[in-house]
Amino acid sequence: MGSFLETVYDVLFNPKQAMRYIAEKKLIGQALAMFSIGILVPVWAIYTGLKGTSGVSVLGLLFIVHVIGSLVLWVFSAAVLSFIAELAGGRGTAVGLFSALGFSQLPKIVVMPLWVLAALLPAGVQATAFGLIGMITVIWMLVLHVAALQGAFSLSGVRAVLVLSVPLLVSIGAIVVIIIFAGSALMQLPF
Amino acid sequence: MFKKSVVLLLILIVGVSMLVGLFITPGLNNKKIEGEKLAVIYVEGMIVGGRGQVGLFSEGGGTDHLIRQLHTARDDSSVKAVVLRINSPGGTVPASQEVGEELKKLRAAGKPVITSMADMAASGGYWLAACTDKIYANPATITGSLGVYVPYSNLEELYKKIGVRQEKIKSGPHKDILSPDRQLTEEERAIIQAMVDDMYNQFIEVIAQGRGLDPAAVRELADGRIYTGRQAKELGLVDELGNMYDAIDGAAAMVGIQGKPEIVEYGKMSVIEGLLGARSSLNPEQMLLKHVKEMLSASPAAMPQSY
Repeated sequence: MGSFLETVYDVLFNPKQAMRYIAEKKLIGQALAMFSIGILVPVWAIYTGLKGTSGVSVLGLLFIVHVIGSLVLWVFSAAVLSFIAELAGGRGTAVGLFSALGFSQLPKIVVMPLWVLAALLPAGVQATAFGLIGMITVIWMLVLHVAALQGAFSLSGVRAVLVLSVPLLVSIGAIVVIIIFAGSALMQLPF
Repeated sequence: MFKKSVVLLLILIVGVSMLVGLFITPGLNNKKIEGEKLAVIYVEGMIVGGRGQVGLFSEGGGTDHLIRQLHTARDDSSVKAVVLRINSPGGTVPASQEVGEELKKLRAAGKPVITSMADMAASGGYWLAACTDKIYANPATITGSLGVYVPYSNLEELYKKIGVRQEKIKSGPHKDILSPDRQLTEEERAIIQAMVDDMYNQFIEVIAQGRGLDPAAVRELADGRIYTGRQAKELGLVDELGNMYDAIDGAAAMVGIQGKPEIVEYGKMSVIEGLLGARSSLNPEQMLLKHVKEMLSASPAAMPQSY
């Protein structure tokens, strides 16, 4: 490992070791490059889908929201997951995890050819194909997140999955509670 | 070297895909976004004016919500026709009238409106149907009930039994007309009857114009009785017998859409909206309370009904 291309290869074919190496070396520059490409390619895919339609006018706003949102999520995920990983007995650094998580954007880029192939399919199966590609991307990214946690904090697979699940479960729980309280409070109003 | 070659190959594939993507516009081609759609708008339950029930993420049940959907369909250039799916026992006259007028405006904007009657499209529900281009009903759909009435409960004897005696300081002799604590006077009955007759005449005009029937013939049909879909077709109140999909096919044929039309549904609640925007009609206690309040209140609740 060493160059950006070699790191990408290892993340594709040997993610656990690659993530450990990225976290140890704190390859922030490479992670930023991967993050940037990981943002641009999906936006390009959306642009190709929307060009020539009225929807393209919102693309600029979408791009800004996507960049800011992804960046905030990246930093926030690294901070929160580092904290939980340490509570779970892991040993590592937030910067190392931050670098490793940057490479978890890779699936967004690699599925671009699949996206194009799906667009060539008949209209009936197109929606299913897009859904399937979306699902593959999400699962692959979650796998890379787990690998990043394993590599950055020397956690076992099960612990890494648990660490990754905690914020998701807490968020879902909080949203459900908020919705229930807010909904029931509003439903009591004498409209 | 091997690793670099593999990744470079991958970059090449991704790059080519991005270029190809420019020409094939994956997923959302122009035809789909700017294509020809049919809108389906649902009229469910009582037709009442106002905003209806307001939830955290939704509002519905009132004509404001329904009219907003009609405006959305009017403003959406890809919508070529609207299928109005009615499952309603009727509603208040003003509410039915204002939606009916909006339906006429939608048609005037060049978008045909086709009615599909579900279980029931009676009275105010039929008022809406009469304002559309074509009416489909199931053979067993309950329709008709063409007419107007003003509900009124005289609870005078009950109030006496429970010791309630209402005192009123009125600005005019008829200010508490339809008050449930006393009998209507003959003069008041004549006033209300004149109102009912006027609204009935308006209803007759809407049906006669909408269905292209002679007003005298409509009056004969509009004695308040209900009809099945099949009877209604024989009487000229319905155009075709069929379900919603027949109505959709009919609407597609009317505007010349080839093949299976793309459907857009307005006012469809998501699961979260359904949970958070749950109607009071789902709460039996609130329904009962509302009914009792209406019975005990004065004239404002005595809205002329066409159901």
